[in-house]
Amino acid sequence: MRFVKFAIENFGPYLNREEIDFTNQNGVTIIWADNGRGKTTIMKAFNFLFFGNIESPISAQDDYFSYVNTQGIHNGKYSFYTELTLSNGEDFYIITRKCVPNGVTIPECNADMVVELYVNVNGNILSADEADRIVRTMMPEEISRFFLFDAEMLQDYSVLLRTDSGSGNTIKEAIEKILGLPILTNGAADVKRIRSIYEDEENTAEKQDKRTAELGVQKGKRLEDKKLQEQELEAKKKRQQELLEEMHGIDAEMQKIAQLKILLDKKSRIVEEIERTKGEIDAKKSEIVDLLKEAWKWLLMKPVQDTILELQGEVSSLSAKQVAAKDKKAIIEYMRKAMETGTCPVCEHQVLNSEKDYICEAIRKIENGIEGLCDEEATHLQNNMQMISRLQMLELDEDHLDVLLIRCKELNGLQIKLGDLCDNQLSSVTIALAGNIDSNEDYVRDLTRRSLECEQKLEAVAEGIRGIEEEIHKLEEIIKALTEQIKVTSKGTRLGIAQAKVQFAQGVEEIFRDAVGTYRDQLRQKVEKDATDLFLKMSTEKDYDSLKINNNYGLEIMRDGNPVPHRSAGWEQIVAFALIGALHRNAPLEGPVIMDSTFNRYSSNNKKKIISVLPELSDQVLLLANIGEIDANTARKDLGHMIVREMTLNRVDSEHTTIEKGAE
Amino acid sequence: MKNSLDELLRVLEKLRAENHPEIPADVIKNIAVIQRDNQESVAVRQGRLKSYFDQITERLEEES
Repeated sequence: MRFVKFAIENFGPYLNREEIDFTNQNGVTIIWADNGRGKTTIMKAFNFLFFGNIESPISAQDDYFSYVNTQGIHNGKYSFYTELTLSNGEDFYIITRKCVPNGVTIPECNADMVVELYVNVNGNILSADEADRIVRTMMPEEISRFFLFDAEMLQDYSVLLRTDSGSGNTIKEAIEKILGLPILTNGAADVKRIRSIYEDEENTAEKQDKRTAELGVQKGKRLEDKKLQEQELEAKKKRQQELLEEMHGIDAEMQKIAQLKILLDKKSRIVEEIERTKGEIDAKKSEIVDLLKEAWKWLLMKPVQDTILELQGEVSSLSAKQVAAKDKKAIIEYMRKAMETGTCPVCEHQVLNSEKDYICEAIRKIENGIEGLCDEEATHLQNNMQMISRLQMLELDEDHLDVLLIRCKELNGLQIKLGDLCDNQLSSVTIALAGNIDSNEDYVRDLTRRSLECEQKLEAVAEGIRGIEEEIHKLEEIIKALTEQIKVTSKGTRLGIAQAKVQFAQGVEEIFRDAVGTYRDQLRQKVEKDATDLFLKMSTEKDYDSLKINNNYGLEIMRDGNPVPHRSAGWEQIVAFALIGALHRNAPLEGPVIMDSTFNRYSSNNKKKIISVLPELSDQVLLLANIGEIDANTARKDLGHMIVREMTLNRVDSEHTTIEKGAE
Repeated sequence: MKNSLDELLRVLEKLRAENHPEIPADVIKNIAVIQRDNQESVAVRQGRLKSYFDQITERLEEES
């Protein structure tokens, strides 16, 4: 399918009919615009045209009325429309989807509007049902992300790596649809149904033939049992699909609230930290209180020390005096003894008579020189010593003071930390949570519970499916054995023809069934190869050597044979580009790629490489480019003749934009 | 415009030739085309396929 022209009128800022002309050449059409001029509105217009939804292909409850141009309303124009002319090389299609007042003259709200779809094929207007069918065939909703996308949608490809996600399965089915797998899977299923019809006809013939009647009846019962099992299997697979879609919805909600969960976890951690810090503060305060019980003593520390020193000085001099008197008395005593005994008690010298006078004189002199403590002095000495002892009991260990100072500092630190936790961190996360529409913790928990329940139900259904498939296989074996017996017994032409029809249908079914696995493997290899080729052209990282595909068409970046973990959002988008390009190369379903402002994450070098690869994504690429994101001259140089048209969104005023040919 | 079924038909033909050469090649191709052209409407698709099968099997009956 090639786009020829796209028109839009009275939608968003596009007051009058504005057109985007596509050329017959393969290449890139660039529409340049500043922020706020209406690039994203063009994407929304395509969404509206193909799906009847504006915000996204699957959005519900769009407020159509809010998209009617304000000046248009002022001028009495209440309808808006989008129109696409396209061709498959043989037929020309004009698809028109419009939103018009629903039986009211002046609509005032969404309820007053209705959406209408018209499809003109080579001049013939199709019926409403046929129009709807054609549009759905051209752009199935589930694969639209590979044709119309913006930066945010490119991020979603990360779900492809999660093989257990509902979203991953939905995207996988979408990719296989674009690659043509349903031709084989539906083919096998439809032929199986026809085989079943032929088997019934065969069984009727078997029962009617006398030679095979009894075996025919037995086989008939088994065929009935098998049909019942197949109905049960179909019901279970339908249930499985419903659960996968439910899972997809939950995954989508989870992603929306992923940020909310992060905030809630952060809030929980902060609250825990606050409680822990409060506990530490209380413990610290208690320690400080204990230390402060002795604190009054430190006020007296200096005076006490000074007093002790003074007293010690007095004690020292009094003691010295006392000791001196005591020593003299001891000497007098020794001398007297020497006089009495005639022998010195210290050195045992024999005292001579001539020495006795000397000794007496010495005793008299010493006695005169003894200055002992008087009563008052003795009392003073004793008092001082007691005072010193009491004062020394008051003295504090200097380390005790150091410990108190350290504890006070630690307390101060904890209080600052608590202040930061409460005033800054908790406050900012609370504000962030308040800004979230679903800032409801119960909702998050409910979603998590539903996700778990859904997973459990899926597991149960998968188990049920396995059981039924085993049963069906057993029945098929029995039916096959009975059929062989009947073949040996039967000779009738009628039965032979019925058997031939069954055999024919079986053969076709087997071919289609086997082709599914073969084609899928082949496709995956081709998609991997083509995606790697595109990726390496866009990559600025020399160490990344290839992409590797998984069962869900998710692609991992490989470096030296190992997957690169935790890739950034920028690399996520580059891988997504590579996948889109590879799918377009291998898909039977063709169509242009329409991209909105996807370059803000990249360096100039990256942008250059990605832009160069754009013509390889599809035959027709429409790029809605933000003038600030891409340098126009560089893009023209890199794309060269592959730029087939340039247009510009021109702002007339805040409610009126026009689409002009050429670059600004 | 590329023939979007080429690759798919190659796979089908290879399997037919290897495992069921008794089934004519054009039958498989025609079934694939019916599938491609009627993807959205299950009832229409199955109806067209049944008609086609009846034509083929009628031919089988006549030949036998």
